Amino acid sequence: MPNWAEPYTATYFLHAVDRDTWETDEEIGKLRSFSVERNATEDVPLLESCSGEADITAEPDPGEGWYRVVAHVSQRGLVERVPIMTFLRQDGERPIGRSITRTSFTGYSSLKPADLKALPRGTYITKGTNGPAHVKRLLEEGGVLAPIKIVGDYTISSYVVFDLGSTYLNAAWQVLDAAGYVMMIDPNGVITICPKPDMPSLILDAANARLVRAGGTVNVDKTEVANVYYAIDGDNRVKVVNDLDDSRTSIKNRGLESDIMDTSPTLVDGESLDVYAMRMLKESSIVNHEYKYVRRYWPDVFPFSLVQATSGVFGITEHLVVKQQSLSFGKGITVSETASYEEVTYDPWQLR
Amino acid sequence: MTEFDYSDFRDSILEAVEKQDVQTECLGLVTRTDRNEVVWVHLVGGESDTPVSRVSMTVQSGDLVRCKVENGRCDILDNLSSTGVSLSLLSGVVQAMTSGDMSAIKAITGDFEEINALRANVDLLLSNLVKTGYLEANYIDANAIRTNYLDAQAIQAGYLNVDFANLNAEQVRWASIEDLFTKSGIFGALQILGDGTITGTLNATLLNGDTARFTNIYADALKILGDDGLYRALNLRGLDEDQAEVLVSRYGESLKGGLHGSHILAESITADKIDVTQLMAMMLMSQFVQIGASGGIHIESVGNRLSFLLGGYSLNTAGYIDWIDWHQAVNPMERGWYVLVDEPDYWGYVRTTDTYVHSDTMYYVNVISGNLEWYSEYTNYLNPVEEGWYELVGSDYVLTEDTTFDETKDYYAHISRPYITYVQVAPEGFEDPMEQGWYEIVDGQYVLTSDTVVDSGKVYFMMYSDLPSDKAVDGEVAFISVDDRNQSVFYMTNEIILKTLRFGKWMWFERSSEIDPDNTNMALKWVG
Repeated sequence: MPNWAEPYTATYFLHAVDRDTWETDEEIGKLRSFSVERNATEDVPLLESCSGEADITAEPDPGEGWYRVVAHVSQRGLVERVPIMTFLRQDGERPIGRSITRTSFTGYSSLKPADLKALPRGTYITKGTNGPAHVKRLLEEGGVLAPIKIVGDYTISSYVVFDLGSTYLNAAWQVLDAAGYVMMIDPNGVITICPKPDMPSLILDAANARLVRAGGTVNVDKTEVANVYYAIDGDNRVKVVNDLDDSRTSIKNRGLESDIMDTSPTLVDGESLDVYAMRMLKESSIVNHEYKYVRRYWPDVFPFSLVQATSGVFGITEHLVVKQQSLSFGKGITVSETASYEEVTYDPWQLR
Repeated sequence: MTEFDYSDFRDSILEAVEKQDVQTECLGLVTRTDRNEVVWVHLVGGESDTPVSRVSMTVQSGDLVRCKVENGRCDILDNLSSTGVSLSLLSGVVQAMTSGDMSAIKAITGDFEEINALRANVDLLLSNLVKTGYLEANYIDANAIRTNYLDAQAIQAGYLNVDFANLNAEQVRWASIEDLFTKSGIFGALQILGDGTITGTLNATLLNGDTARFTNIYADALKILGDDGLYRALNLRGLDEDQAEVLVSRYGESLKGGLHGSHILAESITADKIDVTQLMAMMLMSQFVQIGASGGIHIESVGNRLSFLLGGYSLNTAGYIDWIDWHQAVNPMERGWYVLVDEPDYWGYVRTTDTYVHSDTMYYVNVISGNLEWYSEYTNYLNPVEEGWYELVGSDYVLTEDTTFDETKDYYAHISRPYITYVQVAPEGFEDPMEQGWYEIVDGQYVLTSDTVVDSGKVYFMMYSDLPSDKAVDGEVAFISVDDRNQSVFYMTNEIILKTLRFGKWMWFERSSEIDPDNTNMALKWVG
């Protein structure tokens, strides 16, 4: 693997992917331009997509299918082949020519097949089911061809009925969200079901400071933060209030009351309605600190990954969770990244 | 039984059906309650039963309910069933709901599934199916009536289809049959004789049969289909009396041959001799053609040579004819400039009408005096461009010695006669040929180093697309970079200029001691 902290140059090639083995197959062209978008928000269940333009040299052009971009990274006279992204290709416009075909394309992540297939109405997951294993089953039944790995496990505490009109992918995320699990996709398109990471994939300390360009920004938004939570389940009604002296989002310190009314509580692991309401107020009191910056490419940093910020580079020492990435590809690879950490301003379980 | 308001029930159903389109609500049929007291419903359009999280009313198996699916739960909102509703009325809704046929639900809730009554006065009954033991009617208007037995005093029919094989002939009035066929025009003056023979004239468009025996056949045209599938036709095209025509063809295909009073049409004619006054042919293939009894034109082909002799021929001493070589007699190619044409449907050299070379056209062949002289470009009357891999050096394409593509090089063209079959052009953004990093001068050349801090014993040239975030460096350094204003800036720790330093049109220089030995200070001069 190249030393990404040192100078290198790269050129990018398009390869077909064997659907049965998921291995990199023959080269079919060279990229003229390429960009990747990765996103960890619920609005982007596919997690990543790409677009680009390629000179297709394979005769005939295989067209729609699974492909992999491989970078030929040249560093100190050595050339290494590094996978960048695996995707389902959809072609855009292309000029009419003979020996060389230039085509623009859009690419979707290896989760795409499950995003296209509708789940039958009324489908549910039973209490006691292994959550990650069920998610893997959903993805495979949804048509996902990529290998799927599982790290960790948890069991479903009560029936979960999937929303009407859900796709297999929607259902998979619904099962994962209930337990704080996520999916991550590596450059080979392999999907890993795992808990949210708790160890950083990239540490931005003084040694790695040169990876980050100057000119980043930080934004702290408290608009959606609540300090009162109502949980209503039938005739049962619970109200939890943040009135802590040392919480900067409490009613006292903030100077205003912000309520949330929850009429459809989803209890997990046998918790009571009281505990549920306290847990939800804790989640609703979280203040999000969002950092946006540009850095050089570093492998194995994806949405949900942790980036360790240090005081020397960011002025804070926190684990930032990567929310969004835009990768641009030239002689080198540049990443425009949005990462954030959450400040817990209300924790009823914290000893005082 | 409690009086049940069907209109309320229907409205409830319709409302539920309308809400079927809402993302979270749908109809369901309660199927069971398990031993854990969990109620299960079968959602309309679903494949299996679904557990209900919350039930706030009494429900039992078979009830039609409205459900809401949200946040991982399925809750029952309404029980559309009532104890006053007959199961038969529900059955239609349930059946339609199970199959997912929402239009059927709407239809059923608009009309009742079953009505039991001793007497009903109905002005207009619209029904798809009526079953009755006895129907008494003054008038029946129907598109079709099927019955096993019809007892009628009289039948008046515009069309009557009768199976005559089962016709009871004893009851048949033959005079009526004769009248029937005559009036229909099938037979003219039909008479059925006592022995079963029929006299009269049979008028028919088509007669099918195995054997027909006639004394005379009168026909305007006769077409006979043979076992070989060929038609032989007499007078098919209605010619005059004095012209006979026999045509042969397959049905639907073009004419293959025939005998005509004026012409003979055939694909081929085999004969020992044909005596004609005038012979017209698109192509005449012959081993030997002699025109005239003793000369005229003599044309013969031997092998792949074609020779002809005008004005007679002579026999050599062996008794054979002297041959003239075609290639020696005629120049096969017209003189002129030919250009190579490469189109999807044609590849080859095409003669132009040009008498001289045009600067914007690449000619390949000029035929002079029957020989071929090859040219590559109008400006360079040399051999054609050599095949191989070319790279751009400066502004010229230079042929390399590589025989295969080397991916570490930036090739620009590969010549494979007669095209340039491969062109690699540096993509946008992929233009900077130099790796970013520190370069030092080794043996008179800049070589990329792995140094990240300056070695005081070396002189560096640093190449970066933008300045690194840590700009502090130690030691001697010289590099060119781009500042915040996107301008190239040259950084140097120490700089020794031996002669002059020029800024635009001004120049710093050391005053010459020969001019003034006491004044060798630095001077600034306008140099324009």
